[in-house]
Amino acid sequence: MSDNTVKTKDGLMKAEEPLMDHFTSKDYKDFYEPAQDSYLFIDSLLNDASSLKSMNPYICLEIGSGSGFVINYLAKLLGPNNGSRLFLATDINPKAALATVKTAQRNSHENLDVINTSFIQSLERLKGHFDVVLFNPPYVPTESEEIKLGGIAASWAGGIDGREVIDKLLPQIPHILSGKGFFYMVLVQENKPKNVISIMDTYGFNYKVNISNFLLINLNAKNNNILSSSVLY
Amino acid sequence: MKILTYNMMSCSKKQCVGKGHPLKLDCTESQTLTQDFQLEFIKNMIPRLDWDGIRAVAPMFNINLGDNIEGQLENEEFLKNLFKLVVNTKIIKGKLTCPSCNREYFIENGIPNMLLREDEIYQDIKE
Ligand SMILES: [Zn+2]
Repeated sequence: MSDNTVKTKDGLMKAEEPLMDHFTSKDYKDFYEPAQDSYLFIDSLLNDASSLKSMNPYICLEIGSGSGFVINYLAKLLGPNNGSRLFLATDINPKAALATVKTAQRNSHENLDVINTSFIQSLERLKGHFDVVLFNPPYVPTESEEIKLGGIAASWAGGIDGREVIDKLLPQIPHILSGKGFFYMVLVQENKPKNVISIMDTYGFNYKVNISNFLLINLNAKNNNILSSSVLY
Repeated sequence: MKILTYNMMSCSKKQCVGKGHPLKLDCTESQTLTQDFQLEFIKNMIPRLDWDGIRAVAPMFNINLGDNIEGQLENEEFLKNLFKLVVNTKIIKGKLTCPSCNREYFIENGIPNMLLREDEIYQDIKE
């Protein structure tokens, strides 16, 4: 892991990880505990700290926020936490939604609102206004039926190739993001990331004209080695 | 949940797209924050706000925005009151009701539960 600092034109930037000591291992039976993919996620955000700050996002969203670790980290990274941005988080699991609220309270983040919903259901009117969208999907390949189990299974069960939940969101991404928006997603090799890229390409994510930026994070769940982490423009 | 978030939400049902807002708010517990006024942020949020929704809830929190909202968008006093309402006011407990289908959504611990039941999803797709 990094030492939580990154050099920017404003000098050395540092972001503390959110405090998570309000949860015990018992709590993590009900929602996803920050794991290697979560740390990879915040490392990627830290690496992009400079461009995220200069993009100056007004509305940031995490879909499937679980414990709230990642979105609270982003709020810290983009600070100061003073009413100049809105952070939103959704989770289909009510216990995860409550966990995200508790993590925001523990970290004194007053500008994070949490909605118990599926993807961005009920937030459709905000389509095209999300400047940052974070998604650590349920990417583990499972039987299709496992997706419907609910509870903590919703945090990992991804169906065939681990792609069934991911593929529901992909067509929505171009409509959800604002013109300057960044979309971050975790993928593993089993998800066929090259195919995900080509799908995003057909949705008009032409990074060369820089309409939107798409950071694809690949990690291999099997042996936990990071295969690649790349920004496509 | 901030009034800002509430204001931008709509009914979860597909059949209510375009008419499932502003949701009717019943607030039984709220919280007031004391964050400093952010002019740039509030100006940026203005085009996204539903003014019917703002007009309906401002009196509930004793915030007077005047009668002519559209004429005051450059008035700093108005913008400060608007900031107080949408950014510094949080709904902790209450209920949202769809103006189109009357579906009720409950808010607990500041979290609105916008999930539809299986039978509602089925019905929604069918219609
Ligand atoms: Zn409705």
